[in-house]
Amino acid sequence: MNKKDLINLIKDKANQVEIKEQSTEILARVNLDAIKVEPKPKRFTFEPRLIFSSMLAVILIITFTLVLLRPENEIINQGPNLESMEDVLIFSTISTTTLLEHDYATNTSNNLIDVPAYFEMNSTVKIDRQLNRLTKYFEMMEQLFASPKDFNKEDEVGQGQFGRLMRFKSRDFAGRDILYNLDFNQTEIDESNQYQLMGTITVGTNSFLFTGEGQSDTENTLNIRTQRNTENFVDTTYTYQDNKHHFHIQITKDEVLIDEVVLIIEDDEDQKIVEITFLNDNIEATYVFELSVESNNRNLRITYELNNGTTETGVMVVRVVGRQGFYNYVVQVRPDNERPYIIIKLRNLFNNNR
Amino acid sequence: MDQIHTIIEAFRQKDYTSFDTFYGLTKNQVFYAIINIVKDKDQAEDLMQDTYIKFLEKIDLYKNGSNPYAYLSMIARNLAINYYNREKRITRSDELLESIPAQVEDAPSEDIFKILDLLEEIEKEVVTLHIVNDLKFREIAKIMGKPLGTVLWIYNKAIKKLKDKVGDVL
Repeated sequence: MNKKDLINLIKDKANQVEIKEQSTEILARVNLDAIKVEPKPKRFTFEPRLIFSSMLAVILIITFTLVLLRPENEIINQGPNLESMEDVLIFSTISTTTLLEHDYATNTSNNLIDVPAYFEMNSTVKIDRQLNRLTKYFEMMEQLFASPKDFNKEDEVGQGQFGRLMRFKSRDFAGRDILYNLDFNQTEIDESNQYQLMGTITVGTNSFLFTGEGQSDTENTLNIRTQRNTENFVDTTYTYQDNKHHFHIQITKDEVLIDEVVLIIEDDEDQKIVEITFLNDNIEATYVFELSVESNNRNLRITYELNNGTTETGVMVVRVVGRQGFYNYVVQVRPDNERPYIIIKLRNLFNNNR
Repeated sequence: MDQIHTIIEAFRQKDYTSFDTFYGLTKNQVFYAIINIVKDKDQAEDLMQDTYIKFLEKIDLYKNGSNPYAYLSMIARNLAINYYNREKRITRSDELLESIPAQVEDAPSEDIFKILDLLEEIEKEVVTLHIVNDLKFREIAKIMGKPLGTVLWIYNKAIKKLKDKVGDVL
């Protein structure tokens, strides 16, 4: 190839890269900065109330304009709302199997990808030492924020030993669908609003036994145990309080309770907020998850607060990145008043291979 | 070039009605001044915003008649280097970067990056600034703080390398 052809090739290939249109965002920032810093002209003698009204009007106009001009790719599915007890059962299934798979995968794989995390262990920030236990909840969050609105669920009569077969699918941030089969019997308890559940969950090539009991009246509750075996299982207790979905989750590994968290989901039509609080630790840890969208990709934005005498707060952005079908988490950590950094965390190998 | 100078004059009067056009004319230069340093497309796009904000804030420092593409490229490159330095807690160590398995890399996959990846970092910058950003070698030398002769030498070495190897990656 001669030099002229090479230069033309580079120019052509450079022009083929799609660069995001950001004029609106930039102008909004310029305008907002102007409002923030522009000194009030002295010759004006408006009453303070009038000035306040004018400022408010400008802010409202800008906000309205931003909403109208918001790129289409930001109007993105925030994941399913838990509108029925079936949805609650489905989310319990997804969360418990994901947690079981994560613990099994991290037992059976090397942690080479977590090397940068070890590099950070000398860090003085508390969040560094909390990330390993938090990471196992990322996959569950991906599916909670990216799955189809009703999990595409199909309910039919079972053909084997179980009377009911529920098929549904979740989706992760890499855009991959994960198919679940829930084969189970639901037995009503006489003269009460209670019922018992027993069956199997099949996801990919893995199967789990699950048992549970629920109550459906003015107070819907559901208790589920999903187990790999009698030593390794996850218990969830669901309640609905203050217009929020509460899941109390306990993870038992080799007969030892390793994690106990409360997960609270608050969702409306266009925004979902999920709060996780860790209970069984000497540090009080609360993480608030929200969906963040960049260039049409879903990320998790996590605001955290840690307290063990002194309080540490900050924000993390979790991106799912990878190539050739293998994905991991790139976690950008921004502790308040500390230097930001990035670490790469292992993502569930089962999920990668599904 | 007249059009862009007219738009910049309007910016001085806080008239941003042609900002869309200005962005369209300059986005490639800004993007490529950043991407070779930060490697991550999302982050590059965030830094693009910062570049334009800074350009508009410091519009009075822009000298009439000078090359706006070179000026924007310089702002973008400086912001990217600042970002890189802030983040070097994890990126400063080549050993650390090498310890990250290849499958988790999020390098952009477009052909242009396959081509540029054949080059050393400094060669990438010179080639990009000259061919994509259309800057003169003396402008590149000023931006990079290197003698003109060094820039020319780097460029010629890079072109020779690409002529030999580009067929292997496309």
